[in-house]
Amino acid sequence: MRDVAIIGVGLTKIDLHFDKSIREIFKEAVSKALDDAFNPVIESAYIGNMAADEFNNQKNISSLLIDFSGLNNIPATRIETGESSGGSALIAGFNDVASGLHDFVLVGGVEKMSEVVSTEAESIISLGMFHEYETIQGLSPEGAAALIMRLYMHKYNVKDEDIALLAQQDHKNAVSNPYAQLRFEVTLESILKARSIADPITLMHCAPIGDGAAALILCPMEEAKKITDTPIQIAGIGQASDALGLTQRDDLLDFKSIRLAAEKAYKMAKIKPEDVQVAEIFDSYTIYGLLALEELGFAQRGEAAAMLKNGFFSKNGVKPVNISGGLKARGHPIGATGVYQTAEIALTLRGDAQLKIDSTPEVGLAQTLSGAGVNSTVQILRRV
Amino acid sequence: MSDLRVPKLWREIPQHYRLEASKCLSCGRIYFPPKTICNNCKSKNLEKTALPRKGVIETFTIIRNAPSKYELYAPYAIAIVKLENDVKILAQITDCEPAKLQIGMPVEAVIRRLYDDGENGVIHYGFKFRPVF
Repeated sequence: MRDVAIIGVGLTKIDLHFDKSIREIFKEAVSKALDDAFNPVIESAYIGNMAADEFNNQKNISSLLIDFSGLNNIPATRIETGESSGGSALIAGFNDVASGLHDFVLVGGVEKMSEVVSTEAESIISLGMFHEYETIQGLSPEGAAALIMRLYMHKYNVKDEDIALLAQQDHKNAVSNPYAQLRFEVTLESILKARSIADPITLMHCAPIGDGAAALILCPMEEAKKITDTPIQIAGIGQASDALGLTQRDDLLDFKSIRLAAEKAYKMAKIKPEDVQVAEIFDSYTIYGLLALEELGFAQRGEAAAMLKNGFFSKNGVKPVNISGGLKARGHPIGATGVYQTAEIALTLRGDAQLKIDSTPEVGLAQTLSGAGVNSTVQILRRV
Repeated sequence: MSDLRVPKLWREIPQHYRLEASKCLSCGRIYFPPKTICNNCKSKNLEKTALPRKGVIETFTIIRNAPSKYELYAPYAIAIVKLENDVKILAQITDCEPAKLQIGMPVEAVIRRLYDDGENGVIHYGFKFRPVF
């Protein structure tokens, strides 16, 4: 297996881009990534996208997007694993390069959600749950997160204001990320007093709806060293699935898919959780972010909130988490999110001005998640 | 978006009306909805079994912002119920003020209308749970 590097990163600002099509935002990300990588000839592409069928009335999205990005006739495949699609696309791209099949591969992610009103978006995202046994009972994704959050609060005696700390930290970090959707700070009070979506979850515990596209250029490490002084190695990857139905699991608070994906990635990168210096975690709802911190091995069960409180995960803390603003404030254009996260870690490791932190980390981690622990990917990046 | 189309609804009747599950004859594990292979011991030797109709609330939420098909019914309560045999089931809680719900509350299954899909669509019946007094 060949070592794989990221040599190009392209991000678009996440927003409600009523004036732009899915083709335009995707092309913008691809062009930026290609320029960043000194325009190599791309041989194949993998695109993370959850629901262009419903949001954009479009299947065959990979061919459309690649054509409108000026990349004629290359093999192009859309990857869908729900909200973790971007992470799965990255793994597909990694496999392509590592296996020796192709040298220069594009990994993209895109979601154009603003074509529909919010209740319709809600219904589309609900398709990611077990249809005959969850969706049909009227459960929403926020409802699933609420079931888990209430149990977590009950079991570990944690308050909603402690869980809200993650949303507050995300908003604080997003202020300095030019690509983030919600670049403003919020108070704890505004999170707790926001409109209730599914008790105990308020609007401010949830990622917003937005449009965004992100792209990465991958190639073998040997080639990367000839092209750039700052190749970022994909040192470890891992993916794991879990039962789609919440009731199929013995313990609702055991997000096993994150833990199993992380174990694989740590093993491959030959590191331990404490070696990770910076991370982007998947907090589509604040509670999932806390569970991710615990399953990744950054916090003991039930202790993530206490560590957030003492600043362990803040921008200048021991292990900065979500310096991009996380899903809550950077935004969550679903199929693109995993690619954003990986790109952001790459930028931070490169010391890029846009997502720079005072320490100069060498090892970073990005984690994606679909639904309530249904599918997870973990990517570990290393500056070489 | 949440349509339960006729063949699917018809096929799920044993589960949605009678809480039909499957039990592994090798290790005894019970699955709802029924599975034909056991995740625990990999046996393919499973038989139909009916679930007990009583249990307790393990966790719950009140849906206030519902998906479009369910907007008319909001707010409504959804819980994960742990049945007497430890099998878990997700369902709406009915006949109860949302403010009175709590973890550990005993509940029992009832058949109710889940939703009707307009003038010409199916009326979908299924299980909900209500407090036991």
